[in-house]
Amino acid sequence: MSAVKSTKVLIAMDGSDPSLYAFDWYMDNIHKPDNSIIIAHVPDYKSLVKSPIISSDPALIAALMKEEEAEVDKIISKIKEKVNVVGVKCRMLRLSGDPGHAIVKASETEKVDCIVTGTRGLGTVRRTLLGSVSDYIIHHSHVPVLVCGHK
Amino acid sequence: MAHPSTVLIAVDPSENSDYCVHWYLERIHREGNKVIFIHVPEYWGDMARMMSPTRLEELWKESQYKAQQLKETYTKLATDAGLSSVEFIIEEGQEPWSIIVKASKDKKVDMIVMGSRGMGTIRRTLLGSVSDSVLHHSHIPVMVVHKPKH
Repeated sequence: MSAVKSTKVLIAMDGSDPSLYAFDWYMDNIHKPDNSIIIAHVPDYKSLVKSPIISSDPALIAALMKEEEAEVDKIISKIKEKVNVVGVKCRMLRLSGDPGHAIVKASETEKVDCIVTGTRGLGTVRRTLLGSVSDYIIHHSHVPVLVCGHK
Repeated sequence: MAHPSTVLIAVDPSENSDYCVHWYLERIHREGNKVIFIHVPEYWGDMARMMSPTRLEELWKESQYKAQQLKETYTKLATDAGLSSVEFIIEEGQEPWSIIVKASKDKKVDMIVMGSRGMGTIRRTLLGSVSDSVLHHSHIPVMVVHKPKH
């Protein structure tokens, strides 16, 4: 009989409703008290900056970057709030770069046993059932991936 | 908030399935979870035109035999692991993914668990066609279990 092991889980969260749903679903249906959770957040600047402004004005660029950071902080607070409400201890990783790539790389570096992701996130075109980040994770992860469909 | 779930585990005779089931039992299974295994035997209907009826019957019998073996093996594995609610469904069909998704709805399952690849998959791809299709058509969470290379 195989012994039951404690599992290291990485939950990819971008602050979107599908990612919050994935977190809740994981806690309700999969989480075990011995499991350790890492929340990976990759700010996706492409989906935050709505207006493509090309400018060489340093003041404007600085202002835009500040706005972006404020948006990222908002999302991180949202995620932290969710975690606090649920009351589970998590480690939060803020990563950079291409979201899919960063998440898979982090899962390898942190030697996690499983990745949890929603089906879509912030930036996805509503036409597709599976967002590009989730799609990337599924195709490149070397560990099991839980894909939580959000109705 | 934790409550028992009904889990549908899709299996075939591959090593991937074996790893998948063990992984589920070791890492994911929670006491009270109801486990339903589903196996869709290989479909030989398309080959009917190309083969002799005798050969076709041979292959069909082989599939049936393998299906029964799987049923015995996995039912025993799950029961030995302490599960009280284990079911094994064998359902024939041309498209395994649609059978799996339909079963997940009929049985009111909470999650589908399956290997990333099965028997027929070309080794080049990281995700087999059945897993890929189930992922795209399922309305409930799907756990895709990749077998480590080593």
